Amino acid sequence: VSTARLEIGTEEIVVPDTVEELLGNTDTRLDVPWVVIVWDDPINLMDYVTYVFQKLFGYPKAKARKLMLQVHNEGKAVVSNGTRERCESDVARLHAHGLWATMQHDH
Amino acid sequence: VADRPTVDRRDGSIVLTLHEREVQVLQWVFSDLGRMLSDDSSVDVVTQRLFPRAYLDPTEEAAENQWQAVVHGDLVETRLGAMTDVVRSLDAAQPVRGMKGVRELVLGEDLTAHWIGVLNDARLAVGTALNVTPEWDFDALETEDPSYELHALYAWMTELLGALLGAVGG
Repeated sequence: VSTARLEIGTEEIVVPDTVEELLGNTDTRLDVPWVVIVWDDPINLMDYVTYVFQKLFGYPKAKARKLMLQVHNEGKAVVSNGTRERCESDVARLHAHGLWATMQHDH
Repeated sequence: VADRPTVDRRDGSIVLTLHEREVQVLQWVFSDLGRMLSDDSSVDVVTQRLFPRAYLDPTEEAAENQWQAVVHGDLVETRLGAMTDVVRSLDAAQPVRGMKGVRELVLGEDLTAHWIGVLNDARLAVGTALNVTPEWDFDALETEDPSYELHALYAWMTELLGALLGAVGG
């Protein structure tokens, strides 16, 4: 593992290369981003799912509808990604609107 | 509850026209849903559907518990707050001149969004209790079916939500 060195004034600061190194944690999954998945369900209306994607993510209607159709036809779709905190927030917002959403590592 | 719901746009607002019996049915449905949402001890298929897990991975159980501890109360409060607004608007529904037994509600943007969310929660609750599948077909049900009336309610709420979404999106 290489490290970068910065010199600011007379101080030398060792900058860790990775989050793993920074935290001294050997869990390499910290480096893996997270994804939020919306699953198909038999109750939510197609127009409702499209409406929620527009409302929560600000997608134009065509993009929201395309994503909804992916959920409908393939059984699920990734609707957002990012840090664990970002994805936990998105899952909560989707649950508040009655969509069946979960999050997982983006393997 | 049998008629197709009427939803129109007027001066930038959504106008929802309901028979008095439909107002009463919705008051009953929302009141029942509110009781269920307020009952933390209730763990059944309906509450599991309204408040699903965030993590499917069983090794994330600690994160799941922490997430539930942080967000569950907010999710309940948000839903109950929207429902309070919706029930207030139902209670304030005005008689329509010249149409006996008919009332109308004029919904602004925020209230329309609350109506859509609360109706969707009610459909989720009723549909989950009825174990609705993708093949669900109300017209194929026998009127002797012991759950026929609940299926009729589900079908009518589906029409109403569809009409509201059409008015918002259209």
